[in-house]
Amino acid sequence: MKRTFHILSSFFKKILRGKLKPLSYKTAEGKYSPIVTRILSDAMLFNEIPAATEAESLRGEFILRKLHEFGIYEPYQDEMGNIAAIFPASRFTDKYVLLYTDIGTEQYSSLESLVHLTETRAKGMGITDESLGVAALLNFTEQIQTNSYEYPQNVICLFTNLSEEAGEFKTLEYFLKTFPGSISFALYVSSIQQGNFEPQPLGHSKLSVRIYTPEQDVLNHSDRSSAITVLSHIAFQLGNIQWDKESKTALNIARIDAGIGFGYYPNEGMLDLELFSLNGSILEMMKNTVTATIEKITQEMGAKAEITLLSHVPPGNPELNSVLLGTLKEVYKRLKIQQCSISIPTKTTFLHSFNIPAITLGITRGKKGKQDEYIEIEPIEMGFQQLHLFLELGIEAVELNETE
Amino acid sequence: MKTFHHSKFSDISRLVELKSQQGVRISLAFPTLNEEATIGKEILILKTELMDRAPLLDEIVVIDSGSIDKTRSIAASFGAKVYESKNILPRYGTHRGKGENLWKSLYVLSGDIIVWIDADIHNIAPKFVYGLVGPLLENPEIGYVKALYERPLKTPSGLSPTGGGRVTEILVRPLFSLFYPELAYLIQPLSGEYAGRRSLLERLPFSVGYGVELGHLIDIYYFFGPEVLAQVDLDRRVHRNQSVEALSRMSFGILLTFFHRLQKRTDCKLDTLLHSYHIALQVKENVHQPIRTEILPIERPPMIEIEEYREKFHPNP
Repeated sequence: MKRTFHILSSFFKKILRGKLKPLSYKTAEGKYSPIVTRILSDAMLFNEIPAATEAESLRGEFILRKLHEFGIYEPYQDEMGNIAAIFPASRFTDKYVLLYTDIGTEQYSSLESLVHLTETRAKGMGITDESLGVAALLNFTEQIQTNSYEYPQNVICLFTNLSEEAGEFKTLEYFLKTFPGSISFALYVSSIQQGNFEPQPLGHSKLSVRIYTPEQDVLNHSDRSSAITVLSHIAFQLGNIQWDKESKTALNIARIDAGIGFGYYPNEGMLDLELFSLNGSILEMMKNTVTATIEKITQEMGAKAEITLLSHVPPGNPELNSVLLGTLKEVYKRLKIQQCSISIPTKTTFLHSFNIPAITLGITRGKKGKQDEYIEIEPIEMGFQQLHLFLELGIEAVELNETE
Repeated sequence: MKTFHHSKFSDISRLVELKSQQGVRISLAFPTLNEEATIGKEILILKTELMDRAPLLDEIVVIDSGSIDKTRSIAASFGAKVYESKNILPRYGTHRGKGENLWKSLYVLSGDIIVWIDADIHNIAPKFVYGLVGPLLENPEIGYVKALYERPLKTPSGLSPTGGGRVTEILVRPLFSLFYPELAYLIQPLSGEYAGRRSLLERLPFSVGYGVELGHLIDIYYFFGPEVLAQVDLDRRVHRNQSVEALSRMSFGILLTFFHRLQKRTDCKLDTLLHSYHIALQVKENVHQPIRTEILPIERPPMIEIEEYREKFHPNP
């Protein structure tokens, strides 16, 4: 802790000496600066590209076309659909910093994904995951390319696919296993996590449960329970289990879906569950408990259950992230961004299994709801400035930490 | 009639080069009336992609007919120049209608090529502009380019893949087939997105209301010949649905313009007076009640005939 403070105070001195200047942007004609309108324009156009497609090829084409427009004619590409722009460091080094974002989405609708813009917000299905993050990383790439920025370490701007459709971390994992360089730390560029930081990276498991009951006529069924009754009972029972609070162990019933509608007997249903914990053993035990509970209830109620483990990420290592976390807080402080400690599953903990420190940086604030999904426009400018500042400070902090 | 696909013009840097070689300015105008739901996005995307990132457009202007929602403030906040139609050339009075806004825009816009785009498009993208401008920059013989597209309707129950262009198929194409078969080959003669050269547009009279697009086509056919017309495929345009009642009033305005053109061009003599009230029937308590809406065949003269315009754009005759 003391060492982290020492490292950060040395950054402050540099900033005060003027070596690290905050980026400023020319004010555009209109309420928002050009960088904000560019990010918004890209986010809206990207959000309206259909998904999911094979390896998200349509969204990948958009990224490739943009990179080509920026003068990046031969970006890194692999067969899983990863696309990256790689910028050499200002000096000889084999170290890389990874900035990555998610081009996939679980929700696309040809109607609801059309973005609607008010004076202060952009609204539309999918805009929070992660169309704005993609747009911000694209514009960051453009700035590095067109202004020939050089950082003390090589920089990778990676557009990967973290959707459930693509097996969540499989595409990123492929990149990490095949990329022939040493990644010193990673930054996940997210749409709406501005100001948040995760002091303790939670482990999480995602389970999908499918329930089947015998087919029956809606007006002439026996005493057997329908899929809706079985799912309600499972949800009720799981909801009543007390989990270990100290290790932040918790269960989230993410989705229940069953039945076709009026006039039909509901004999099929599904339930999506998320399990969280800071303790890997407890998480494992929890997974077994939940599975056993579901199997017991379905058997007792004459139903059949299929339980699939969609993904499992063990808890992260808080010590691994300590330097980055200190840097992030300093960036927030410097840019006067309100800070908020959170405990949610993130797309960075997975990198800890590769021993890569990783944190999330949100470009703006917003809301993801079933009926109402939006991002706020005003914080985008500051959110974008974080990227440059964090990279400057983060590289120095990590290198100083290694030296000491 | 030449027909293009927008992808032929997707190399924007090449269009910017052609624009520079030809020394022309390009202006985009949106005629608006209560379009707060869509105008901000249209301006932001087109200004960012085609003015900021690539200097294809020289200006983006909104000509508003007196919106009572936030259309004007949203348009200004995203960087468009906003005019109220009534304040442009006030000596000539003001009428409410899209054609009026387009006519007045010729006076305030500075471009040699003018692009007009409706302000109710939900899926706006740069292709809506470069697709229309490209044929004009690449083909000096083309003077006027119309958009065509699939028109799924945005309805409360989702996107309806068919049903767009009802007035075109039921009214306009049969009329064109009867009187101007060459124009019947236009896939969407009433599309609200088109671009033209100022030198051509300033010589056209403008119907102030619904008939402006149809009037343009007939006048261009007469004055310049159908060979100056082209159309470009923009793939898809998502917009709000219009009620049958609104389409009926639109059809009335289009027919008014059409018959006035016929009389003017002596293709056809009408021995009867055209009435100026559209009559709709509304059922209330099982009784049909007439609703009369006055729709006048008001037409603005070619802009070149306006003194102030000549002083501004042709100071040395």
